[in-house]
Amino acid sequence: MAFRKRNIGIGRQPVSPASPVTVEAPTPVEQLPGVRPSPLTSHPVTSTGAPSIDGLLGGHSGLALGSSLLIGEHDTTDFAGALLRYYAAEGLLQGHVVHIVGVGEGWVRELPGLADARYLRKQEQEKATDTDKAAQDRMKIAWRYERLGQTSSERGALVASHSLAYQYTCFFAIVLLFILSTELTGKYSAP
Amino acid sequence: MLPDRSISSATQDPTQPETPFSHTFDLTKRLTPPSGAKVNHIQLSRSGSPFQTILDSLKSAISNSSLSTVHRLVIPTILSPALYPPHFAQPANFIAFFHGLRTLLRQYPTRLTAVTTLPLTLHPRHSALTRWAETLSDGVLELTPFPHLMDANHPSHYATSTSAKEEQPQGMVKVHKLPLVTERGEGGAGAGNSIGEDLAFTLSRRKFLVAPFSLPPMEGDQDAQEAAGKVTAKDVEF
Repeated sequence: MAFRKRNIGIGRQPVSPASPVTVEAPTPVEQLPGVRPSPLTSHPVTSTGAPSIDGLLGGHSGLALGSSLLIGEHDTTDFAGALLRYYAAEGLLQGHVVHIVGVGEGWVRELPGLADARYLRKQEQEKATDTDKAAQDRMKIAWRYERLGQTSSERGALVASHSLAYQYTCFFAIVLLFILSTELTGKYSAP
Repeated sequence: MLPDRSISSATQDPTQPETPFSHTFDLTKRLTPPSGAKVNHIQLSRSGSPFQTILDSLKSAISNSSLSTVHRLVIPTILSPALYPPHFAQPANFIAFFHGLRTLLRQYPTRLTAVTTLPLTLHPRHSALTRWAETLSDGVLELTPFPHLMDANHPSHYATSTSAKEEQPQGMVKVHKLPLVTERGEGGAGAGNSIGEDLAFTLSRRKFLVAPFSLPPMEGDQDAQEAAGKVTAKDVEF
């Protein structure tokens, strides 16, 4: 349009430097301790301290920063308390500031300690043998899910192998039909 | 041979000692907090507006810390009568607190996470307070322990070996709500979706394991178990 000045965005307000809202300098979120981007959406996530709970949280393999989690528990057991202790202990080890509401200072002294190195090594070995097996079978379908939580990746592999088996069955059925039909047409088209 | 496509190996800096994203904890041990660990104990105030002290303390701690610190809010057994006086459970206080917490989380989207546990026996899920707490939280999990596994007289304690007993589920986990649901549906397409699935948890000394739950074959039903296991040639013939 001729009556509008070019190179100026429509509806753009002039930004006054004295505006009351001061924008904070963007922090490189990926460099924060104990934070990594979600493999799905690249939203920064942090660990709850329990890898299987991380795996439950919608494929982000961690609790997204800026979000809250409510864990309800029936009966008088304290499984949710164990999860809460993992969360607090993980925060302390990552250098996060941990705010604890309502309970005395003894609660921090009861946080679980790190598992000994021998157990961790055993776990690593088990993981290594698992991947060896997978490589042998040439069935490493879920390589994209490697960075996801343990449970979700296991389930992903399971579902993938199921669907593969289904595809194979379909394929064989089609081949069989094809052979049958060629035989039949061969029979009847022959003079 | 597939090429190694994992991102972690490409971006890892070999000169720096690697800090794992999550640690493995042992419930029989006690954590010795690393030097410089920052713990902020927030006491409940007996007078005034009860939850406001928590929000004020949290807000001042976050705004006074550097931009690169991440904060975690831990609230064990909220509204449990052992810790909380009755007037905390008044809707005006309780719901206002969850609103305020949500505001703080949105105000500092990269610096704060919170985990709250709630005793559902005292405040069941159909009660209004719990409903509000669930609405104002980003993620909601529900743990339902199996009561029968807790007593030692259960026959499965004798029947199974120690390794099998470790794997035995101790309760169910239900995922009611998740933070950050993507447009493609929770957790991407298909595999890995945890809402609505039957999941069971097992807490052992060194891990909290969540696995899909399936009922074992009924004990004593030998015929059905055998029939389920074998597939005769007649069945696959077509």
